[in-house]
Amino acid sequence: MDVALPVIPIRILRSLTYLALGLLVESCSPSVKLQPATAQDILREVNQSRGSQAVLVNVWATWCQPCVEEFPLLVKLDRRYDQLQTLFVSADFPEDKSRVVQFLKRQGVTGISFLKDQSDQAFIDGLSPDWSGTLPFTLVFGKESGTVVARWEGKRTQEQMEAAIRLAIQN
Amino acid sequence: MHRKMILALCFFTGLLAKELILGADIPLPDRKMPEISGQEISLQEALGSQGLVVIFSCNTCPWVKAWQDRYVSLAAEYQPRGIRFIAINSNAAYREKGDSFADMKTHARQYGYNFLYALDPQSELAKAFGASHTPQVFLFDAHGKLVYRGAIDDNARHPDQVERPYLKNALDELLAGKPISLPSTKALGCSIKFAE
Repeated sequence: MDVALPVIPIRILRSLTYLALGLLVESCSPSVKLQPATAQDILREVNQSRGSQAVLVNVWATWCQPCVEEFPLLVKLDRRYDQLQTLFVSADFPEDKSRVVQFLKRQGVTGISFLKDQSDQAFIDGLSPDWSGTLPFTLVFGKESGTVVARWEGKRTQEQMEAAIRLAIQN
Repeated sequence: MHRKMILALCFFTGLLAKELILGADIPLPDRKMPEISGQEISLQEALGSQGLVVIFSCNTCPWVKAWQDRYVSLAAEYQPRGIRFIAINSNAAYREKGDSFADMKTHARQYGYNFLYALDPQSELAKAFGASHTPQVFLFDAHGKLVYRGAIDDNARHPDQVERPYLKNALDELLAGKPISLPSTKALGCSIKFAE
């Protein structure tokens, strides 16, 4: 006796294949660890790189359009400069943690990344007292000096960012 | 080379917003702005008998969306006591992205705004205040002098978990004729999308 197999429309079959491939890519991609951090934790991380690498700290959020727009450029520059370490600090709400991780993965960020775990006021004052609270916010620390050589609120061009990075590497 | 580096350092360290200083007068007090009621209004006209709260705001920032329920409750509490509230939308570069004048009207209706909501077409007010993000609050006394600037409170997402209601405390102290105990605070926010 013949058994009629259910016919699956090609469109659905294609969608299922893409879904399976997407899950496969996701599971094979290098992992991101999102670590809660205060301003003091971030500054400790910066201090550990003193003498070996300049450090760029970028405070961003998935809800911040300019942050999302400049993010790929920061990832690209981090890869281009061996003597630069980039610390991404998300200011997203804690309940949006999975969205942050997904975004970082899509951007190709691997390893440890940070999630703000402190009140706004304490975090802002702890990181840079004259920062108004506007995102994105970027601080660049000198490789040898370990001190701030550049900082800015909002987006910057690649040329401006690279000038700051080169300055930090020489400093 | 050394000189170049010093110049670059000055440039990079100078890229932070300079907020209006405490005690300053209302900037551009007579500048007329379109207001969602269809009238034009200046900050001098908006000033209440006891003071004025100016909030740089917009329709599109998640931080505004989290905090705006408190705009409404504070306005309801303090406007009858002589302190008027005005929100200003300075997102000139986002008029096509949800911050048009028509969008402002819809947004105000949707969230029950009970205060003035005005358009700053070329972000001139924001520049004059040194405002950089939304929401950012400036409280002026009855004489138009700045007595408080900064955040609404210390918890955007959870109003029931606020520990420090900064603006409310400042309003109470202003009305009681006391000096503002915490006149400057900070919170994270979305950058103002200035005219390009």
